[in-house]
Amino acid sequence: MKEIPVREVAFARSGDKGNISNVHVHPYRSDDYDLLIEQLTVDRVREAFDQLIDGPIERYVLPGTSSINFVMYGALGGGVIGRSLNRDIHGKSRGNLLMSMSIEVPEDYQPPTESPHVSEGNGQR
Amino acid sequence: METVTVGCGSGASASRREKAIAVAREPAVEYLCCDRLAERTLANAAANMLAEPDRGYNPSLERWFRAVLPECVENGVRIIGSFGAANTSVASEQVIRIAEELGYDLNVATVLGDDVLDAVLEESVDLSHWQTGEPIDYDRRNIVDPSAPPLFAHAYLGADPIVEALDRRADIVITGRVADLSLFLAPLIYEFGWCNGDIDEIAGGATVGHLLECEAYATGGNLYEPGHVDIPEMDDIGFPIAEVGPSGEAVLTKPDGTGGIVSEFSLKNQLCHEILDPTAYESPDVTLDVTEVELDGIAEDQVHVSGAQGSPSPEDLKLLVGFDNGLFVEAGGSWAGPNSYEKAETCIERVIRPNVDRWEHSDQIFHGPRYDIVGVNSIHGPAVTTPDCDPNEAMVRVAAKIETEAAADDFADLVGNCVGMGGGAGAGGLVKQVRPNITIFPATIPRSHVDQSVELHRIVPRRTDS
Repeated sequence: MKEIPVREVAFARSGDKGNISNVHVHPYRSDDYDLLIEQLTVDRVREAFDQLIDGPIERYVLPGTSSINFVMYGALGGGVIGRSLNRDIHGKSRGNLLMSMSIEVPEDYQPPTESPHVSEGNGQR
Repeated sequence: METVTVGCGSGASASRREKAIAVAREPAVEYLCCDRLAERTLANAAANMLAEPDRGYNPSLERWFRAVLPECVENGVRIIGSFGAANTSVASEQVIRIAEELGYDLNVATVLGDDVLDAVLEESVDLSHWQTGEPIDYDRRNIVDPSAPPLFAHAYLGADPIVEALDRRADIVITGRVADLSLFLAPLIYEFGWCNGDIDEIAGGATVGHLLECEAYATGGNLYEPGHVDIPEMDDIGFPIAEVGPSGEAVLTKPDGTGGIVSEFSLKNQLCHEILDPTAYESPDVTLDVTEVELDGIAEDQVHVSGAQGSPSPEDLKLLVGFDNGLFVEAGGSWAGPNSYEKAETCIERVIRPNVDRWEHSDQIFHGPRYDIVGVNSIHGPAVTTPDCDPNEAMVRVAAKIETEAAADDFADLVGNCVGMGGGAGAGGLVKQVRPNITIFPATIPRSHVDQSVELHRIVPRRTDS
């Protein structure tokens, strides 16, 4: 097995509702969904975000789109509604922090190389 | 059966009019739906209205309508938008004036009732926290002046009043705080005649609204990731458009000739955006389950969306209550060239911190200070480590919340002095910002306390003989 950053395998975007941050993760290839489900556990995500959040983390899966949604409470130092002291008051960059986490993959694992909207087979070339 | 095509004309307070025009020019588009509000923009608007009673609506309303309205009139597109912000009546007056000056014969509807400040001030309604359910007074312990009344209180209205406005033949519907997705769902409910029993159809329409309400977030904006996700023509990303069927299923696309992408990947990133429990995403019109939503690319920049499920919406409406809460201060300065990072770090540790500790008004700091080096840790803070390279530039930023304006101003001066006069050689680019700080409590309010209404104004073009 070898370790690679999540960003080689998946994209993550983040948004806010008050002081709650939601970080959602989408593998570039749906084949990699199980890998993320298995390894991006609440405990592992808490390790990466622990110093930034005060509350619980919930994890939801969306099988229809092969997505995982992490909901982090007390996560934004007040967020926009409490006017956080952070420069990024919405936590728009939190997805990038999640993409910097690492996951384990087999030695012969080949990460996706094509842009996902090109490789999805939706007629775009 | 017939379809209805709704286009996104805006997804933020400062959303660009050029993008709305491209959507309005698409022949199929019948409704241009425009979200112009967020939690923070509403607070800013309310503060503007307190300063000047004739303001507090969307700041770019005038230039947006002057540019976009002619395109909509020419193409028979009806406009729905939360341009009212904190001052919907005045926003509508402005739109009516602009339409009169342009010589149009139009009906302008104004949706009122989201402003529930009077009810809150009269304390005729018990407010509880949106999530914890605790009484809101309990939460006010963090307010500088706990006896100060709220500045504003706006409830999230749903689609109903917009449906009524469309039924009364409104060409333009101006709203205040209406839930984002409801702005897009309303014309679908109106056109298809969906009622309470059509819960999955409404869920489909709400999903369309959710996918459209953040404009370019659905079409390749905020998605470029070097080496992994590239976006064509990023300089001109088109806003999303949905052709919706009576079942609530839809095909999403964007205007011909615009940049960006509409793909399964672009849409799944918006589907999850700013939702909490995806089995129960609450709105005033429906509670949405998007876990089984399917996105199927059917052609270039065309994606079929299906599978949304609905359950009844919550009994109460969400409400934002804002309180004046001291001042927000931000101050700092920069270095460039070798050793910049070390100069910035030394300035914080050896100059700014000791000065702030002995500052005569330090008891007025009620949040912070936060010490950042921009480019290193000003966003991810303690979750990141210091750089192992010597960056060419470093900026010190200190942020805090302070009780009074005089002390806040003095704090910014103190930090600026520490950077400019006390720190490492070559300090420049000093910044200083002192702004009112508004704290918002998300609460819930029973629907019975929200008195929503629709006013319709018919514009009759003035005739001139010259």
